[in-house]
Amino acid sequence: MIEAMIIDDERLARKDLRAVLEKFPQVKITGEAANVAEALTLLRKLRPQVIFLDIEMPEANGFALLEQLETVPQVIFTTAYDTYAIRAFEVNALDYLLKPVTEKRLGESLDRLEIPVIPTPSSYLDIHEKIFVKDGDRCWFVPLSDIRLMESTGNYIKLYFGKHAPLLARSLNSLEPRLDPKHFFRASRKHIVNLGHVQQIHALDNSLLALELADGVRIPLSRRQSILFRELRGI
Amino acid sequence: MKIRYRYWACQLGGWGLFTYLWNNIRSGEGFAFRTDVFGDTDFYSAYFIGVLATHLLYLYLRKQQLQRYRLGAVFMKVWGAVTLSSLLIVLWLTGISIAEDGGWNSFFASVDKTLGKPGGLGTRTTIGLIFLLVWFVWHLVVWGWVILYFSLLQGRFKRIELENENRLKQAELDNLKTKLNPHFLFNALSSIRSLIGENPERAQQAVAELAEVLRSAMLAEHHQLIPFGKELEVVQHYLAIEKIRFEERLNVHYTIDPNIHQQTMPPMLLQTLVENAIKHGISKLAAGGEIRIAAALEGKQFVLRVENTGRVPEERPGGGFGIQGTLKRLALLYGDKAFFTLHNTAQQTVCATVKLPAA
Repeated sequence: MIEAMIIDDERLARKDLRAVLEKFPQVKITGEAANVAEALTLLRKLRPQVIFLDIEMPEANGFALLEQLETVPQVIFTTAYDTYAIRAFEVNALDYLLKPVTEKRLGESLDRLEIPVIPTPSSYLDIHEKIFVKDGDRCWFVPLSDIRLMESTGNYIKLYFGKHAPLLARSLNSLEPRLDPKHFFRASRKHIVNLGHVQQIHALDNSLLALELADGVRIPLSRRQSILFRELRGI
Repeated sequence: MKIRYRYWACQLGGWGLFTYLWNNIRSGEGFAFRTDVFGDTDFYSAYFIGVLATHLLYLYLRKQQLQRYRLGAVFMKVWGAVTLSSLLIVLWLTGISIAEDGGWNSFFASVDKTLGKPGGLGTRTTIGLIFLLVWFVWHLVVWGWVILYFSLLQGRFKRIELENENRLKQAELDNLKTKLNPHFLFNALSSIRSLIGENPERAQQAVAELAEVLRSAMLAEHHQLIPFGKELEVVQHYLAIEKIRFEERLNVHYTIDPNIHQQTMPPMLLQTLVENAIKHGISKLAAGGEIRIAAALEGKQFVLRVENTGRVPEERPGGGFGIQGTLKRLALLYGDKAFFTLHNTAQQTVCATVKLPAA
Protein backbone atom coordinates (compact mmCIF):
# COMPACT_ATOMS: atom_id res chain seq x y z
CA MET A 1 0.00 0.00 0.00
CA ILE A 2 1.35 3.37 -1.02
CA GLU A 3 0.21 6.30 1.04
CA ALA A 4 -0.19 9.39 -1.09
CA MET A 5 -1.30 12.97 -0.75
CA ILE A 6 -2.62 15.40 -3.37
CA ILE A 7 -1.61 19.06 -3.25
CA ASP A 8 -3.33 21.32 -5.78
CA ASP A 9 -5.14 24.63 -5.44
CA GLU A 10 -7.94 23.64 -7.82
CA ARG A 11 -10.69 21.51 -6.37
CA LEU A 12 -11.58 19.99 -9.74
CA ALA A 13 -7.99 19.10 -10.44
CA ARG A 14 -7.74 17.27 -7.11
CA LYS A 15 -11.01 15.53 -7.80
CA ASP A 16 -9.86 14.52 -11.27
CA LEU A 17 -6.60 13.04 -10.03
CA ARG A 18 -8.40 11.24 -7.22
CA ALA A 19 -10.78 9.73 -9.78
CA VAL A 20 -7.92 8.41 -11.91
CA LEU A 21 -6.08 7.13 -8.84
CA GLU A 22 -9.10 5.03 -7.92
CA LYS A 23 -8.04 2.66 -10.70
CA PHE A 24 -4.94 1.88 -8.70
CA PRO A 25 -5.94 0.08 -5.52
CA GLN A 26 -2.34 -0.02 -4.30
CA VAL A 27 -2.48 3.73 -3.75
CA LYS A 28 -4.29 5.14 -0.77
CA ILE A 29 -4.92 8.86 -0.66
CA THR A 30 -4.53 9.92 2.91
CA GLY A 31 -4.97 13.65 2.46
CA GLU A 32 -5.59 16.62 0.18
CA ALA A 33 -4.32 20.17 0.49
CA ALA A 34 -5.21 23.30 -1.45
CA ASN A 35 -2.23 25.41 -0.56
CA VAL A 36 1.29 25.25 0.81
CA ALA A 37 0.40 26.13 4.41
CA GLU A 38 -2.25 23.41 4.59
CA ALA A 39 0.11 20.97 2.92
CA LEU A 40 2.91 21.59 5.42
CA THR A 41 0.71 20.78 8.39
CA LEU A 42 -0.76 17.70 6.77
CA LEU A 43 2.57 16.40 5.54
CA ARG A 44 4.07 16.55 9.01
CA LYS A 45 1.08 14.75 10.43
CA LEU A 46 0.47 12.10 7.75
CA ARG A 47 4.01 11.54 6.46
CA PRO A 48 2.88 10.11 3.08
CA GLN A 49 5.34 8.20 0.90
CA VAL A 50 4.29 10.00 -2.25
CA ILE A 51 2.91 13.44 -2.95
CA PHE A 52 1.23 14.63 -6.13
CA LEU A 53 2.23 18.25 -6.21
CA ASP A 54 0.99 21.06 -8.43
CA ILE A 55 3.81 23.44 -9.31
CA GLU A 56 1.78 26.59 -9.84
CA MET A 57 -0.15 27.50 -6.74
CA PRO A 58 -1.16 30.84 -5.25
CA GLU A 59 0.94 32.54 -2.57
CA ALA A 60 3.74 29.96 -2.66
CA ASN A 61 4.45 27.39 -5.35
CA GLY A 62 5.30 23.73 -5.18
CA PHE A 63 9.04 24.36 -4.94
CA ALA A 64 8.56 26.65 -1.96
CA LEU A 65 6.73 23.84 -0.20
CA LEU A 66 9.56 21.40 -0.80
CA GLU A 67 12.15 23.88 0.39
CA GLN A 68 10.36 24.14 3.71
CA LEU A 69 10.46 20.40 4.31
CA GLU A 70 13.35 18.88 6.19
CA THR A 71 13.32 15.84 3.96
CA VAL A 72 11.03 15.15 1.06
CA PRO A 73 8.90 12.15 0.19
CA GLN A 74 8.71 10.90 -3.41
CA VAL A 75 7.31 13.76 -5.45
CA ILE A 76 5.30 13.53 -8.64
CA PHE A 77 4.68 16.97 -10.03
CA THR A 78 1.43 17.69 -11.78
CA THR A 79 1.24 20.59 -14.18
CA ALA A 80 -0.90 21.66 -17.09
CA TYR A 81 1.89 22.97 -19.24
CA ASP A 82 4.97 24.23 -17.60
CA THR A 83 8.06 23.35 -19.49
CA TYR A 84 10.01 26.00 -17.62
CA ALA A 85 9.51 24.47 -14.20
CA ILE A 86 10.22 21.00 -15.51
CA ARG A 87 13.40 22.10 -17.20
CA ALA A 88 14.72 23.19 -13.81
CA PHE A 89 15.45 19.59 -12.95
CA GLU A 90 18.32 17.37 -13.74
CA VAL A 91 17.35 14.62 -16.16
CA ASN A 92 15.43 11.86 -14.40
CA ALA A 93 15.56 13.72 -11.14
CA LEU A 94 11.81 13.96 -11.02
CA ASP A 95 8.64 12.59 -12.38
CA TYR A 96 5.84 14.75 -13.58
CA LEU A 97 2.36 14.28 -14.94
CA LEU A 98 0.70 16.57 -17.41
CA LYS A 99 -2.91 17.47 -16.74
CA PRO A 100 -5.37 16.10 -17.67
CA VAL A 101 -3.70 12.98 -16.31
CA THR A 102 -4.20 9.73 -18.22
CA GLU A 103 -4.49 6.40 -16.51
CA LYS A 104 -1.71 4.90 -18.59
CA ARG A 105 0.75 7.67 -17.80
CA LEU A 106 -0.13 7.58 -14.12
CA GLY A 107 0.41 3.82 -14.09
CA GLU A 108 3.90 4.27 -15.53
CA SER A 109 4.73 6.84 -12.91
CA LEU A 110 3.57 4.58 -10.10
CA ASP A 111 5.59 1.66 -11.49
CA ARG A 112 8.68 3.80 -11.51
CA LEU A 113 8.30 4.91 -7.92
CA GLU A 114 10.92 3.75 -5.48
CA ILE A 115 8.87 3.64 -2.38
CA PRO A 116 11.00 4.51 0.57
CA VAL A 117 10.52 2.28 3.55
CA ILE A 118 9.16 4.69 6.06
CA PRO A 119 11.84 4.72 8.68
CA THR A 120 10.79 3.94 12.18
CA PRO A 121 10.36 7.28 13.82
CA SER A 122 13.71 8.17 15.27
CA SER A 123 15.38 11.38 16.21
CA TYR A 124 17.76 10.95 13.28
CA LEU A 125 17.07 11.27 9.59
CA ASP A 126 17.45 8.08 7.62
CA ILE A 127 20.52 8.10 5.39
CA HIS A 128 18.33 7.39 2.36
CA GLU A 129 15.95 10.25 2.94
CA LYS A 130 16.07 13.00 0.38
CA ILE A 131 16.59 16.72 0.70
CA PHE A 132 15.20 19.15 -1.84
CA VAL A 133 17.64 21.87 -2.89
CA LYS A 134 16.94 24.70 -5.29
CA ASP A 135 19.74 26.94 -6.40
CA GLY A 136 18.77 29.59 -8.90
CA ASP A 137 17.05 27.78 -11.73
CA ARG A 138 18.21 24.28 -10.86
CA CYS A 139 16.70 21.80 -8.48
CA TRP A 140 17.81 18.52 -6.98
CA PHE A 141 16.37 15.75 -4.87
CA VAL A 142 19.48 14.51 -3.16
CA PRO A 143 19.64 11.56 -0.75
CA LEU A 144 21.65 12.25 2.42
CA SER A 145 23.90 9.34 1.49
CA ASP A 146 25.08 11.22 -1.62
CA ILE A 147 26.15 14.32 0.26
CA ARG A 148 29.84 14.04 1.09
CA LEU A 149 30.31 17.39 2.75
CA MET A 150 28.23 20.15 4.33
CA GLU A 151 29.86 23.51 4.66
CA SER A 152 28.45 26.34 6.74
CA THR A 153 28.26 29.74 5.04
CA GLY A 154 26.34 32.14 7.22
CA ASN A 155 22.74 31.01 7.45
CA TYR A 156 23.18 28.63 4.57
CA ILE A 157 24.69 25.23 4.08
CA LYS A 158 26.64 24.42 0.99
CA LEU A 159 25.90 20.81 0.07
CA TYR A 160 28.59 19.00 -1.89
CA PHE A 161 27.44 16.04 -3.96
CA GLY A 162 28.51 14.83 -7.39
CA LYS A 163 29.73 17.86 -9.28
CA HIS A 164 27.31 20.20 -7.56
CA ALA A 165 27.44 22.44 -4.54
CA PRO A 166 24.13 24.31 -4.18
CA LEU A 167 23.09 26.30 -1.14
CA LEU A 168 20.44 25.08 1.25
CA ALA A 169 18.59 27.73 3.25
CA ARG A 170 19.20 26.22 6.67
CA SER A 171 21.93 26.57 9.25
CA LEU A 172 24.41 23.81 9.93
CA ASN A 173 23.63 23.95 13.64
CA SER A 174 19.93 23.33 13.08
CA LEU A 175 20.58 20.35 10.85
CA GLU A 176 23.30 18.67 12.92
CA PRO A 177 21.08 17.22 15.69
CA ARG A 178 19.02 15.48 12.99
CA LEU A 179 22.03 13.78 11.41
CA ASP A 180 22.92 10.29 12.53
CA PRO A 181 26.46 10.32 14.07
CA LYS A 182 26.91 6.85 12.59
CA HIS A 183 27.12 8.55 9.18
CA PHE A 184 28.00 12.16 9.77
CA PHE A 185 30.81 13.69 11.74
CA ARG A 186 31.17 17.32 12.71
CA ALA A 187 34.72 18.13 11.69
CA SER A 188 34.75 21.71 12.83
CA ARG A 189 32.48 24.73 13.20
CA LYS A 190 32.41 24.98 9.46
CA HIS A 191 32.14 21.38 8.23
CA ILE A 192 30.14 18.19 8.60
CA VAL A 193 31.60 15.22 6.76
CA ASN A 194 29.79 12.13 5.50
CA LEU A 195 31.93 9.29 6.83
CA GLY A 196 30.87 7.05 3.97
CA HIS A 197 32.78 9.34 1.61
CA VAL A 198 36.00 9.52 3.62
CA GLN A 199 38.90 7.91 1.78
CA GLN A 200 41.82 8.59 4.05
CA ILE A 201 42.56 9.93 7.48
CA HIS A 202 45.66 12.07 7.72
CA ALA A 203 47.48 12.69 10.97
CA LEU A 204 48.86 16.20 10.89
CA ASP A 205 51.47 17.80 13.15
CA ASN A 206 50.50 18.49 16.73
CA SER A 207 48.11 15.54 16.75
CA LEU A 208 45.45 17.13 14.58
CA LEU A 209 43.58 15.08 12.01
CA ALA A 210 42.29 15.75 8.50
CA LEU A 211 39.76 13.70 6.54
CA GLU A 212 40.33 13.24 2.83
CA LEU A 213 37.18 12.86 0.77
CA ALA A 214 36.68 10.95 -2.45
CA ASP A 215 37.24 14.09 -4.49
CA GLY A 216 40.62 14.66 -2.88
CA VAL A 217 39.54 17.54 -0.67
CA ARG A 218 41.01 17.46 2.83
CA ILE A 219 38.88 18.65 5.68
CA PRO A 220 40.89 19.55 8.79
CA LEU A 221 39.41 18.60 12.15
CA SER A 222 39.45 21.06 15.01
CA ARG A 223 41.50 20.15 18.07
CA ARG A 224 38.49 19.04 20.08
CA GLN A 225 37.01 17.06 17.23
CA SER A 226 40.36 15.43 16.49
CA ILE A 227 40.42 14.09 20.02
CA LEU A 228 36.81 12.99 19.76
CA PHE A 229 37.42 11.29 16.42
CA ARG A 230 40.38 9.36 17.83
CA GLU A 231 38.31 8.25 20.80
CA LEU A 232 35.39 7.11 18.67
CA ARG A 233 37.54 5.26 16.17
CA GLY A 234 40.09 4.05 18.61
CA ILE A 235 43.08 5.42 16.72
CA MET B 1 28.16 40.67 -65.35
CA LYS B 2 24.89 42.44 -65.06
CA ILE B 3 24.56 45.43 -67.36
CA ARG B 4 23.04 48.41 -65.62
CA TYR B 5 20.71 49.63 -68.36
CA ARG B 6 19.25 52.45 -66.36
CA TYR B 7 22.66 53.77 -65.48
CA TRP B 8 23.97 53.61 -69.04
CA ALA B 9 20.84 55.14 -70.48
CA CYS B 10 21.12 58.08 -68.08
CA GLN B 11 24.86 58.37 -68.53
CA LEU B 12 24.92 58.29 -72.36
CA GLY B 13 21.70 60.22 -72.83
CA GLY B 14 22.61 62.79 -70.19
CA TRP B 15 26.10 63.43 -71.43
CA GLY B 16 24.91 63.48 -75.06
CA LEU B 17 22.35 66.13 -74.28
CA PHE B 18 24.71 68.11 -72.09
CA THR B 19 27.58 68.08 -74.59
CA TYR B 20 25.23 69.04 -77.40
CA LEU B 21 23.87 72.05 -75.49
CA TRP B 22 27.34 73.04 -74.28
CA ASN B 23 28.78 73.00 -77.79
CA ASN B 24 25.86 75.04 -79.02
CA ILE B 25 26.60 77.76 -76.50
CA ARG B 26 30.31 77.72 -77.19
CA SER B 27 29.90 78.47 -80.81
CA GLY B 28 30.00 82.16 -80.02
CA GLU B 29 26.85 83.15 -81.83
CA GLY B 30 24.52 82.65 -78.94
CA PHE B 31 22.39 79.61 -78.31
CA ALA B 32 20.64 77.75 -81.07
CA PHE B 33 19.84 74.17 -81.92
CA ARG B 34 22.46 73.43 -84.51
CA THR B 35 22.98 70.24 -86.45
CA ASP B 36 26.53 71.06 -87.51
CA VAL B 37 27.65 70.24 -83.96
CA PHE B 38 27.49 66.58 -84.91
CA GLY B 39 30.06 67.11 -87.63
CA ASP B 40 32.58 68.44 -85.15
CA THR B 41 35.09 66.05 -83.54
CA ASP B 42 35.15 68.34 -80.48
CA PHE B 43 31.63 67.19 -79.74
CA TYR B 44 32.59 63.52 -79.73
CA SER B 45 35.74 64.02 -77.77
CA ALA B 46 33.94 66.06 -75.10
CA TYR B 47 31.13 63.50 -75.06
CA PHE B 48 33.65 60.71 -74.65
CA ILE B 49 35.64 62.30 -71.85
CA GLY B 50 32.47 63.33 -69.96
CA VAL B 51 31.21 59.77 -69.99
CA LEU B 52 34.62 58.31 -69.18
CA ALA B 53 35.47 60.66 -66.31
CA THR B 54 32.10 60.31 -64.61
CA HIS B 55 32.09 56.58 -65.18
CA LEU B 56 35.37 56.36 -63.31
CA LEU B 57 33.80 58.48 -60.62
CA TYR B 58 30.80 56.14 -60.61
CA LEU B 59 33.05 53.09 -60.22
CA TYR B 60 34.79 54.76 -57.30
CA LEU B 61 31.51 55.68 -55.58
CA ARG B 62 30.23 52.15 -55.98
CA LYS B 63 33.45 50.58 -54.82
CA GLN B 64 33.37 52.70 -51.67
CA GLN B 65 29.62 52.23 -51.28
CA LEU B 66 29.34 55.99 -50.87
CA GLN B 67 25.95 56.13 -52.57
CA ARG B 68 24.44 54.50 -49.48
CA TYR B 69 25.17 57.55 -47.35
CA ARG B 70 23.73 61.00 -47.28
CA LEU B 71 25.79 63.20 -49.55
CA GLY B 72 26.60 65.50 -46.63
CA ALA B 73 28.10 62.63 -44.66
CA VAL B 74 30.66 61.70 -47.32
CA PHE B 75 31.18 65.19 -48.75
CA MET B 76 34.98 65.34 -48.51
CA LYS B 77 35.54 61.98 -50.17
CA VAL B 78 33.13 62.82 -52.98
CA TRP B 79 34.64 66.25 -53.38
CA GLY B 80 38.12 64.79 -53.83
CA ALA B 81 36.82 62.37 -56.44
CA VAL B 82 34.91 65.14 -58.23
CA THR B 83 38.02 67.32 -58.34
CA LEU B 84 40.06 64.52 -59.85
CA SER B 85 37.52 63.51 -62.48
CA SER B 86 36.95 67.13 -63.52
CA LEU B 87 40.74 67.55 -63.75
CA LEU B 88 40.77 64.57 -66.07
CA ILE B 89 38.17 66.25 -68.28
CA VAL B 90 40.00 69.57 -68.37
CA LEU B 91 43.35 67.95 -69.09
CA TRP B 92 41.82 65.96 -71.91
CA LEU B 93 40.11 68.97 -73.45
CA THR B 94 43.24 71.09 -73.14
CA GLY B 95 45.32 68.31 -74.65
CA ILE B 96 42.91 68.07 -77.58
CA SER B 97 43.08 71.85 -78.12
CA ILE B 98 46.87 71.79 -78.10
CA ALA B 99 46.92 68.88 -80.51
CA GLU B 100 44.44 70.62 -82.80
CA ASP B 101 46.54 73.77 -82.82
CA GLY B 102 49.52 71.69 -83.83
CA GLY B 103 51.67 71.83 -80.73
CA TRP B 104 52.46 73.88 -77.66
CA ASN B 105 53.82 76.95 -79.50
CA SER B 106 50.91 77.29 -81.90
CA PHE B 107 48.59 76.84 -78.98
CA PHE B 108 50.31 79.75 -77.24
CA ALA B 109 50.02 81.83 -80.33
CA SER B 110 46.35 81.06 -80.84
CA VAL B 111 45.60 81.91 -77.20
CA ASP B 112 47.47 85.19 -77.61
CA LYS B 113 45.54 85.96 -80.72
CA THR B 114 42.16 85.20 -79.19
CA LEU B 115 42.76 87.15 -76.02
CA GLY B 116 44.81 89.96 -77.37
CA LYS B 117 47.33 91.23 -74.81
CA PRO B 118 45.72 91.28 -71.40
CA GLY B 119 47.29 93.99 -69.31
CA GLY B 120 50.40 92.99 -67.45
CA LEU B 121 49.89 89.24 -67.34
CA GLY B 122 52.16 86.88 -69.21
CA THR B 123 50.69 84.30 -71.57
CA ARG B 124 51.61 81.43 -69.23
CA THR B 125 49.89 83.04 -66.27
CA THR B 126 46.81 83.74 -68.37
CA ILE B 127 46.67 80.16 -69.59
CA GLY B 128 47.13 78.98 -66.03
CA LEU B 129 44.29 81.16 -64.79
CA ILE B 130 42.00 80.12 -67.61
CA PHE B 131 42.89 76.48 -66.94
CA LEU B 132 41.91 76.88 -63.28
CA LEU B 133 38.71 78.67 -64.21
CA VAL B 134 37.72 75.97 -66.70
CA TRP B 135 38.64 73.32 -64.17
CA PHE B 136 36.39 75.02 -61.62
CA VAL B 137 33.50 75.20 -64.10
CA TRP B 138 33.86 71.51 -64.95
CA HIS B 139 34.13 70.67 -61.31
CA LEU B 140 30.71 72.29 -60.87
CA VAL B 141 29.37 70.31 -63.82
CA VAL B 142 30.60 67.05 -62.28
CA TRP B 143 29.06 68.08 -58.99
CA GLY B 144 25.81 68.45 -60.87
CA TRP B 145 26.29 64.89 -62.08
CA VAL B 146 26.91 63.65 -58.51
CA ILE B 147 23.83 65.38 -57.17
CA LEU B 148 21.70 63.87 -59.93
CA TYR B 149 23.21 60.45 -59.30
CA PHE B 150 22.65 60.57 -55.54
CA SER B 151 19.11 61.86 -55.76
CA LEU B 152 18.08 59.25 -58.34
CA LEU B 153 19.68 56.41 -56.40
CA GLN B 154 18.57 57.46 -52.98
CA GLY B 155 15.01 57.70 -54.12
CA ARG B 156 15.34 54.07 -55.04
CA PHE B 157 17.01 53.13 -51.76
CA LYS B 158 14.29 54.86 -49.83
CA ARG B 159 11.63 52.95 -51.72
CA ILE B 160 13.34 49.61 -51.06
CA GLU B 161 13.76 50.54 -47.42
CA LEU B 162 10.10 51.42 -47.11
CA GLU B 163 9.07 48.16 -48.72
CA ASN B 164 11.27 46.21 -46.35
CA GLU B 165 9.93 48.12 -43.41
CA ASN B 166 6.37 47.33 -44.40
CA ARG B 167 7.14 43.69 -44.83
CA LEU B 168 8.83 43.60 -41.43
CA LYS B 169 5.91 45.35 -39.80
CA GLN B 170 3.47 42.83 -41.21
CA ALA B 171 5.59 39.91 -40.09
CA GLU B 172 5.87 41.39 -36.63
CA LEU B 173 2.15 41.91 -36.40
CA ASP B 174 1.52 38.32 -37.43
CA ASN B 175 3.96 37.23 -34.80
CA LEU B 176 2.43 39.33 -32.08
CA LYS B 177 -1.09 38.22 -32.65
CA THR B 178 -1.55 36.52 -29.38
CA LYS B 179 -1.89 32.86 -29.69
CA LEU B 180 -4.02 31.15 -27.15
CA ASN B 181 -2.08 30.43 -24.00
CA PRO B 182 -1.45 26.66 -23.87
CA HIS B 183 -1.76 26.74 -20.07
CA PHE B 184 -5.30 27.85 -20.45
CA LEU B 185 -6.12 25.15 -22.94
CA PHE B 186 -4.79 22.26 -20.87
CA ASN B 187 -6.16 23.56 -17.62
CA ALA B 188 -9.54 23.99 -19.28
CA LEU B 189 -9.51 20.44 -20.62
CA SER B 190 -8.47 19.17 -17.24
CA SER B 191 -11.22 20.95 -15.36
CA ILE B 192 -13.87 20.09 -17.94
CA ARG B 193 -12.95 16.45 -17.63
CA SER B 194 -13.59 16.35 -13.92
CA LEU B 195 -16.75 18.36 -14.46
CA ILE B 196 -18.13 15.59 -16.67
CA GLY B 197 -18.73 13.41 -13.63
CA GLU B 198 -19.83 16.18 -11.34
CA ASN B 199 -22.06 18.32 -13.52
CA PRO B 200 -22.51 16.86 -17.02
CA GLU B 201 -24.72 19.72 -18.16
CA ARG B 202 -22.20 22.37 -17.21
CA ALA B 203 -19.49 20.25 -18.81
CA GLN B 204 -21.40 20.20 -22.10
CA GLN B 205 -21.75 23.93 -21.98
CA ALA B 206 -18.06 24.33 -21.19
CA VAL B 207 -17.05 22.30 -24.23
CA ALA B 208 -19.10 24.63 -26.42
CA GLU B 209 -17.51 27.66 -24.75
CA LEU B 210 -14.05 26.26 -25.26
CA ALA B 211 -14.87 25.67 -28.92
CA GLU B 212 -15.87 29.33 -29.25
CA VAL B 213 -12.64 30.52 -27.70
CA LEU B 214 -10.56 28.26 -29.92
CA ARG B 215 -12.46 29.34 -33.02
CA SER B 216 -11.94 33.00 -32.34
CA ALA B 217 -8.27 32.48 -31.56
CA MET B 218 -7.87 30.84 -34.95
CA LEU B 219 -9.88 33.49 -36.74
CA ALA B 220 -7.85 36.21 -35.05
CA GLU B 221 -4.93 35.18 -37.20
CA HIS B 222 -6.74 36.39 -40.30
CA HIS B 223 -7.99 39.74 -39.06
CA GLN B 224 -6.17 42.91 -38.22
CA LEU B 225 -9.20 44.46 -36.53
CA ILE B 226 -12.50 43.07 -35.26
CA PRO B 227 -15.62 44.62 -33.69
CA PHE B 228 -15.49 45.01 -29.92
CA GLY B 229 -18.73 43.03 -29.55
CA LYS B 230 -17.03 39.94 -30.98
CA GLU B 231 -14.03 40.28 -28.73
CA LEU B 232 -16.23 40.72 -25.69
CA GLU B 233 -18.14 37.56 -26.51
CA VAL B 234 -14.94 35.55 -26.65
CA VAL B 235 -13.72 37.03 -23.39
CA GLN B 236 -16.98 36.08 -21.74
CA HIS B 237 -16.60 32.50 -22.91
CA TYR B 238 -13.02 32.51 -21.78
CA LEU B 239 -13.91 33.74 -18.32
CA ALA B 240 -16.75 31.23 -18.05
CA ILE B 241 -14.20 28.47 -18.52
CA GLU B 242 -11.76 29.98 -16.04
CA LYS B 243 -14.65 30.23 -13.60
CA ILE B 244 -14.96 26.44 -13.70
CA ARG B 245 -11.35 26.19 -12.70
CA PHE B 246 -11.21 28.89 -10.08
CA GLU B 247 -14.78 28.48 -8.83
CA GLU B 248 -15.60 31.00 -6.11
CA ARG B 249 -12.07 32.41 -6.35
CA LEU B 250 -12.99 34.25 -9.53
CA ASN B 251 -15.66 36.94 -9.78
CA VAL B 252 -16.22 39.02 -12.88
CA HIS B 253 -18.08 42.32 -13.35
CA TYR B 254 -18.77 44.02 -16.66
CA THR B 255 -19.47 47.71 -17.22
CA ILE B 256 -20.01 47.99 -20.95
CA ASP B 257 -21.41 50.98 -22.80
CA PRO B 258 -24.11 49.36 -25.00
CA ASN B 259 -23.35 51.65 -27.95
CA ILE B 260 -19.80 50.55 -28.57
CA HIS B 261 -20.16 47.04 -29.86
CA GLN B 262 -19.20 48.21 -33.34
CA GLN B 263 -15.95 49.89 -32.28
CA THR B 264 -13.00 48.12 -33.90
CA MET B 265 -10.01 46.81 -32.04
CA PRO B 266 -7.16 44.35 -32.57
CA PRO B 267 -8.35 40.78 -31.89
CA MET B 268 -7.25 39.12 -28.64
CA LEU B 269 -6.30 42.46 -27.09
CA LEU B 270 -8.89 42.44 -24.32
CA GLN B 271 -8.30 38.71 -24.06
CA THR B 272 -4.60 39.27 -23.34
CA LEU B 273 -5.40 41.81 -20.63
CA VAL B 274 -7.89 39.45 -18.98
CA GLU B 275 -5.48 36.54 -19.27
CA ASN B 276 -2.83 38.60 -17.50
CA ALA B 277 -5.30 39.62 -14.82
CA ILE B 278 -5.89 35.95 -14.12
CA LYS B 279 -2.32 34.79 -14.44
CA HIS B 280 -0.69 37.51 -12.35
CA GLY B 281 -3.68 38.40 -10.18
CA ILE B 282 -6.34 35.84 -9.39
CA SER B 283 -4.25 32.68 -9.69
CA LYS B 284 -1.69 34.09 -7.25
CA LEU B 285 -4.26 34.67 -4.53
CA ALA B 286 -5.44 31.79 -2.40
CA ALA B 287 -8.68 33.62 -1.66
CA GLY B 288 -9.06 34.68 -5.29
CA GLY B 289 -10.42 38.06 -6.29
CA GLU B 290 -12.35 40.15 -8.74
CA ILE B 291 -11.93 41.14 -12.36
CA ARG B 292 -13.75 44.26 -13.56
CA ILE B 293 -14.00 44.88 -17.27
CA ALA B 294 -15.11 48.30 -18.48
CA ALA B 295 -15.43 49.66 -22.01
CA ALA B 296 -16.65 53.13 -23.01
CA LEU B 297 -16.14 56.04 -25.36
CA GLU B 298 -14.33 58.96 -23.77
CA GLY B 299 -14.31 61.85 -26.22
CA LYS B 300 -12.57 60.62 -29.32
CA GLN B 301 -11.08 57.67 -27.56
CA PHE B 302 -12.30 54.16 -27.13
CA VAL B 303 -11.23 53.11 -23.66
CA LEU B 304 -10.87 49.55 -22.42
CA ARG B 305 -10.15 48.96 -18.76
CA VAL B 306 -9.39 45.72 -16.94
CA GLU B 307 -9.00 45.81 -13.17
CA ASN B 308 -8.05 42.89 -11.00
CA THR B 309 -7.27 42.15 -7.41
CA GLY B 310 -3.54 41.96 -6.87
CA ARG B 311 -0.43 44.05 -7.10
CA VAL B 312 1.99 44.80 -9.92
CA PRO B 313 5.55 44.53 -8.60
CA GLU B 314 6.86 48.09 -8.45
CA GLU B 315 10.22 47.22 -9.93
CA ARG B 316 8.81 45.92 -13.19
CA PRO B 317 5.47 47.48 -14.02
CA GLY B 318 4.32 46.06 -17.31
CA GLY B 319 7.29 43.80 -17.80
CA GLY B 320 5.56 40.59 -18.81
CA PHE B 321 5.82 39.30 -22.32
CA GLY B 322 2.11 39.61 -22.96
CA ILE B 323 2.26 43.28 -22.08
CA GLN B 324 5.33 43.93 -24.22
CA GLY B 325 3.62 42.24 -27.13
CA THR B 326 0.50 44.32 -26.58
CA LEU B 327 2.53 47.52 -26.56
CA LYS B 328 4.33 46.64 -29.77
CA ARG B 329 1.13 45.62 -31.44
CA LEU B 330 -0.58 48.88 -30.56
CA ALA B 331 2.40 50.89 -31.75
CA LEU B 332 2.50 49.07 -35.07
CA LEU B 333 -1.22 49.40 -35.67
CA TYR B 334 -1.93 52.88 -34.35
CA GLY B 335 1.44 54.61 -34.11
CA ASP B 336 1.28 57.15 -31.29
CA LYS B 337 -2.51 57.29 -31.27
CA ALA B 338 -2.96 54.37 -28.89
CA PHE B 339 -2.02 54.27 -25.22
CA PHE B 340 -1.49 51.54 -22.72
CA THR B 341 -0.96 51.86 -18.98
CA LEU B 342 -0.69 49.34 -16.19
CA HIS B 343 -0.53 50.46 -12.58
CA ASN B 344 -1.55 49.75 -9.03
CA THR B 345 -4.59 51.77 -8.05
CA ALA B 346 -6.40 51.35 -4.77
CA GLN B 347 -5.43 48.87 -2.11
CA GLN B 348 -4.85 45.54 -3.84
CA THR B 349 -6.04 46.51 -7.29
CA VAL B 350 -4.20 46.56 -10.60
CA CYS B 351 -5.63 48.54 -13.48
CA ALA B 352 -4.74 48.00 -17.13
CA THR B 353 -6.03 50.64 -19.54
CA VAL B 354 -5.95 50.73 -23.32
CA LYS B 355 -7.01 53.81 -25.26
CA LEU B 356 -7.60 53.47 -28.97
CA PRO B 357 -8.73 56.07 -31.45
CA ALA B 358 -12.54 55.79 -31.73
CA ALA B 359 -13.61 54.41 -35.08
